[in-house]
Amino acid sequence: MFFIPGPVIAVLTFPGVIVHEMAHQLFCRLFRVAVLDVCYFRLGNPAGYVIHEPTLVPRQQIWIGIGPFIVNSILGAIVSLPAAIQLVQFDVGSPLHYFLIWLGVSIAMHAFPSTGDAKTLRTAVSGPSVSILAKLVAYPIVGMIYVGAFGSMVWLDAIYGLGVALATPKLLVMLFA
Amino acid sequence: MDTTLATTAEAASAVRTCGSCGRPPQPGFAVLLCASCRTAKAARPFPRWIHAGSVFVAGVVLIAVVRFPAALSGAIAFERGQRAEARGSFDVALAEYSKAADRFPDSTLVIARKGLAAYHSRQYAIAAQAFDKIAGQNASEGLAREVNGAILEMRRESSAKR
Repeated sequence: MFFIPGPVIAVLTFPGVIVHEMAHQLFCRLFRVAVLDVCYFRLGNPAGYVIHEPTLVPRQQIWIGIGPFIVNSILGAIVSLPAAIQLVQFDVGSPLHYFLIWLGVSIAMHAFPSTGDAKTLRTAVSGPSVSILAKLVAYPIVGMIYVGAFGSMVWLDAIYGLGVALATPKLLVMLFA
Repeated sequence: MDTTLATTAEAASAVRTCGSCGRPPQPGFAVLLCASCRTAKAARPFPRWIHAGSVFVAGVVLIAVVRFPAALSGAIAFERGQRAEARGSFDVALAEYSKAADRFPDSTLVIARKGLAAYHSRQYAIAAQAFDKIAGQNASEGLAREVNGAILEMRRESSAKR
């Protein structure tokens, strides 16, 4: 297994970082949560961030936290869909197809919420005023986010990105064939 | 003492204003903002470069999407061809691979499978035409072995007839 520093990966897949932060911001907008500061991309750790006010209910924090998982996964699949069949299955791609695959994989591999997102979510749901039901929903999500975040050390995010971008067209073909 | 504390608390509550415009803040929120400032901050606009980037990406995706239905139908035909081939229906497989080959005329894999289906359904002219087209192309070891085996077999049958 080889190690590539996080900032290098962030630079190579910067569209995914931008979409990740946009997704957080979109869900803040959806729940009318004030956004205090946004950085869509920078050379640093974290590569991007959205600072928003604490949410009124934990449900909103859950959605804001997992927003990138939904948006990046769907967008990554859509972007790479037209190119994946030609390039991956039949090896007859043009530069446009290579560009779309890079873009789709970059976006999808940043679908996993960060450990920072997990920490924010955990803080939001750990208070005594939060219902048991909300905690039952939120804690497994927090756990999965941590698994995903630590899994990125063994390329889980890249594997997920490739899977979303390349396997979706294959599934579509198998479904219609 | 109690009075002093009450007065301090009152004074503190009196200065609670919207951090953005100074109007009374919405109650219940940790960050002091009035309703209109909260709405404005929640709907914080995306920068122009993000709009421009999104338009560019949408355009590129649109160009690719226009070609996608044809690619998808080609891939579906190929998948159906593989299924037909697996159950030994080589005529059906040949028809499906031919559809896929119309869509992907430069794909070694598609042309090779079309040639192999033609070979198995004993349509050697079509098979030879397909194999000629991909002669010298790179293919996986398994596919190359299959194609070369079919070519050898066709040559053998051809010389046996003479």
